[in-house]
Amino acid sequence: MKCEEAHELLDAFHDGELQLASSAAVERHLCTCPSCSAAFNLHTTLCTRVRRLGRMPAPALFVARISGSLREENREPTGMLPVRSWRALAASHLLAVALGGVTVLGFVPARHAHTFTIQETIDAHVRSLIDERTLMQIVSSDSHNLRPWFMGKIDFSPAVVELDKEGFPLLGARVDYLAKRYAAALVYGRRKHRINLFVSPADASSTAAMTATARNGYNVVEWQTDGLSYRVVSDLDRAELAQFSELVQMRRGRP
Amino acid sequence: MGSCPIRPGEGPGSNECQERPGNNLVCSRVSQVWPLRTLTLRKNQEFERQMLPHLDAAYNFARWLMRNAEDAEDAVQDAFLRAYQAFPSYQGGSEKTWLMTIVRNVCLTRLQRRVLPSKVVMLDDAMREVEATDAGRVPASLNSRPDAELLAKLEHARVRSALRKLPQDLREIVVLREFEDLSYQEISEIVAVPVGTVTSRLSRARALLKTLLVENDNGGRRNEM
Repeated sequence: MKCEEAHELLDAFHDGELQLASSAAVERHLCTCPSCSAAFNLHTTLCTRVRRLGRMPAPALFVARISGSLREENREPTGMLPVRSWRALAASHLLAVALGGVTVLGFVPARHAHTFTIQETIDAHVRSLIDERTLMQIVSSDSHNLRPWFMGKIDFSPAVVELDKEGFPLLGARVDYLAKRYAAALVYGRRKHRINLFVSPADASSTAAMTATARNGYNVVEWQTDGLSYRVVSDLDRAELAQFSELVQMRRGRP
Repeated sequence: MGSCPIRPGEGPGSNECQERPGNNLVCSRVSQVWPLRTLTLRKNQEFERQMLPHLDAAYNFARWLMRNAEDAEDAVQDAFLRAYQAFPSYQGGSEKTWLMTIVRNVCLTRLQRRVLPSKVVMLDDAMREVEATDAGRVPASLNSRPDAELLAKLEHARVRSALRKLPQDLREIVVLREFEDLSYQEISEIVAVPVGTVTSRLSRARALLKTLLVENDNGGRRNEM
């Protein structure tokens, strides 16, 4: 085998794409030809370097959104519009068109109760920002201060997570009333933005998987764990709010 | 492939929809945009079982094609929706190849429709800036203590930036080969070119990557001195 011939086959040889006979011929050539063998080594090095990059994995919130909407389909009994939330996605695209300039992020199930709580969550957020005094009834960045503060005010105990190091300083808390329930509201900051984290006992309208929705420039992320429903709302961009939500979900239960 | 590769511009509702800057779909004829098909529960579970494991692969592929996270997410979500609707006509074969074909076609359609590429350019520039500062930080830490983690980061940044510089038709083949470990045959189905073309593009891509990396490596070394 000549060098040019071997050179042409190097890629396919490297990738194991050659027929057995050609592969053996290239291998024999490489054993005898130092320059082709050096070229082949360069080849291997390059491929290893690229492979080491690895995939950029899909963000957890995005995976949750896609798989959550599929799981939801699977819970539907047959014959009852199994494509409901995909249908809702299509509908929400259209809604976005109708409203002009509204981007809908998540698969919003077409449930009135759900839609209602999203709007309520945003309303509560906006209301809380009218005045620093309505935003926080207690100002503290210490979770050990805040947890006992809730005692006697609400009948459940929310986990309070400190995220200063991650750039989401805890600012304070208040008790709010949301979707016909008392809710613990924890207030975090991100630069000039404020984030409200509402925690309340879960009800039928809350979903376990993390879902993200955008409305009127606000992003809402919600999920449910251990019988508590979590709703995060802010005017922060969706990537940062997703990061915040994942941190809260991850750290929950740890001091 | 007998099953459904939706080619660019042929997707459901492609005549009714056009992308506007800001990425909102503008659709004039509502009912024809998504011909809703009802999957049975069993079919639905099958879809989840077969397609969901490839979500990371789909995302990574879209990320390299669209060049930023948000557009990649939108494209993959769209691709999953299309795959879901085309699923009844999916006739077996490699599900990954099938899904990746749809992801690619959605991405290419979106890239073609991109009216204002300014957003992309900005993000790419931003990434390059980050890399530049990373590269700038290395000499200082080398003086004190070689930081393996930092060096690995720098190496990744170099390779990533070289791969990003490849033209799309070469880049996609490298991504499918090196990150997904797909065969030439599978790649040829996804990209819709003969196997011979895959081979020659891969050779060209690797030769170009070598050159780009040598430039990068030399640049890095010059910095270190």
